[in-house]
Amino acid sequence: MGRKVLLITTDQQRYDTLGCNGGVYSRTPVVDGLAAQGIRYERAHPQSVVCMPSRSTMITGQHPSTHGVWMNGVPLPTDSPSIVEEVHRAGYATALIGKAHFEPYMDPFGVFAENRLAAAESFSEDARWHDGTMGPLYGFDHMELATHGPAAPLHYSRWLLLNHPEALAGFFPVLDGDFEVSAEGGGDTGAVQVKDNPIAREVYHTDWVADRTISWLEGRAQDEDWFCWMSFPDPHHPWDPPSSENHRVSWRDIDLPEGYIASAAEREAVLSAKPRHWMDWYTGRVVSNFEAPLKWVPATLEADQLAEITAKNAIEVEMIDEAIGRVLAVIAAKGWDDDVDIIFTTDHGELGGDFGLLFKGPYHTAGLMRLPLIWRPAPSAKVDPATVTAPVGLVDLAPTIGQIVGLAPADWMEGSALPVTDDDAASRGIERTLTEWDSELFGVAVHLRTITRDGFTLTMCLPGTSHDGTEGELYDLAEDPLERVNLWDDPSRRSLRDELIDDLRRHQPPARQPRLECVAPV
Amino acid sequence: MYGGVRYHIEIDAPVEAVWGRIGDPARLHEWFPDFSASPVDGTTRTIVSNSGVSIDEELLIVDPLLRRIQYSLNLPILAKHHGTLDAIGLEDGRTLLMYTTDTEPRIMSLVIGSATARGLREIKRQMEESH
Repeated sequence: MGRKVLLITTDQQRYDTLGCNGGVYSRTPVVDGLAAQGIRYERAHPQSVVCMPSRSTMITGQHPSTHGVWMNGVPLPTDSPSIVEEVHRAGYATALIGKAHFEPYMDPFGVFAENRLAAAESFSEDARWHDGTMGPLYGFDHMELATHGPAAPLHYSRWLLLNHPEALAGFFPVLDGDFEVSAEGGGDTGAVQVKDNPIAREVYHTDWVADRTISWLEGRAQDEDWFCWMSFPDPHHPWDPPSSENHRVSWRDIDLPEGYIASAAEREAVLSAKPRHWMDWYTGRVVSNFEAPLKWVPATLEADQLAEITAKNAIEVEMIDEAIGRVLAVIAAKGWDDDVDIIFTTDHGELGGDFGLLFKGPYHTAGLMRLPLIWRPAPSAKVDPATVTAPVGLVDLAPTIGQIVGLAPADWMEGSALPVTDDDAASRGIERTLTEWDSELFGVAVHLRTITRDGFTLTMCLPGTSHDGTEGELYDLAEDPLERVNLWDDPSRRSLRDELIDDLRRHQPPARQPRLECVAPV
Repeated sequence: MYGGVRYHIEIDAPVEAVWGRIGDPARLHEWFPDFSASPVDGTTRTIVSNSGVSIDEELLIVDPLLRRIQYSLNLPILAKHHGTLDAIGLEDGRTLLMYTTDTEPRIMSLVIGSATARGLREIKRQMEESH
């Protein structure tokens, strides 16, 4: 019998939303407890700041340039290498419960397996793996899927439709009449993508994901090895948690996030010192990506609206923490706890009011790039609790899972098993992370390449429709954690800038050829 | 908002042969994996999806000199739609096939265009296997 793995992910969660990371809005005692028992990473970065590329990185252990999912809407080929396939081959039961999103949701022809499973009343479908063998999709022998509401044809939507049809209309409608991401507002302040949702808490997707995870775990034999990815769709927008939970955090009582600059003049001065796509979006001149509402202009965000969004987000984070607690109680009751590794993280962050912005996009800044990551090794492994400050990435998850299960690193993986201390990181040369952005849609192209190392984050803006290839960003994360002073053009930092660019270019994987097609907006 | 997407593919077969397969609008279903039939009545083509849904299209251009087919989908959710397929002969005896989808609302161009991308891959497969 080997070590079991519970991988817990959320969607679009900021580093600073957890109590153990200094968060002040939510109570997160369960995840904080995991951090106290395990390893808390202070510089965990995604390799992409949007869902599909980032989630593809998690299971392939590859950067987006290598696995080829270069933007949302590009499906991960089913014959891509996957750590879950290797874990399945090693004899583990393998489940993904909640949000997958390796394939697009907008799929009217039913091309993608993720969207076919629920209608077929199925939890798995065979596909050809990267080595030519046939096996369950991406290695999961049980996929029970959900997203942020009832929109996509997934198991949660079907369950809602069959059992709680009255709840469907309570969610925020994510698309408007033009099929664009909706800019509608609601709540007390008219905040974008906020809605009071009358849904019963136990019917909301957070509790559904935990319930289905518990059901799957209870179906496992006592001595069975298992890998379970419990994937919560929240706290990704829309911010429409059950209204019954509004009492947890009152937007009227909270301070605005530290990254929000209250003075419009000061905010715009900071934005003007960044590459032009920042100000272009802030003013509504250019919306470069589908993930942000086309008809919402960030400059119109009011302080009360940000407070309400922050409160709703905090409520969603608390609900997730409690749902995790229920699952951990089942694991303990089954007597498995000593042999279960638990990893908690998210796919990318949320701008959350930083510089007056919300949602996500081509902005390689801490709100999107600094992720919560906690690894509670199985107590039987006797790994001491620690805090790791070395930069690590989601690209490191696959080799970490492989190591836990007892697999040798595969040659297609580009990351390293997560270090358990800073000394461990130093001895293994773990010192940088890379993050990519590529988007080309409706006449707008943005391409960014970012490196984080030695306490600095540097972003190169490659040529596109907004940039000519000369712009970029450089921040001293120790001196300027809020990233308000762009050192890119500072002559005194020129040699540092050149050194980081050289390091970035030497380590950036080449882009997959031919490029995979984008076949949906998301 | 009006907008579009374009997919293209190069086929290792002469343009005359490619046009011979794609130039008949009633044979669309033979190389479009998502459709099971595509009968034409006058300037109306009816495409039938594999799940049995029928949608009418108006054929706007069928030009064997330009080697272009253009049509418009009649769907209530589309204020505008133009699908344009162009076959261009390359100097090395191969063919460049371009499929453009323009729609209002523009997001639908990606959703519809994804089917055209699969069609391009299928016609390439068919032509290169038979050529």
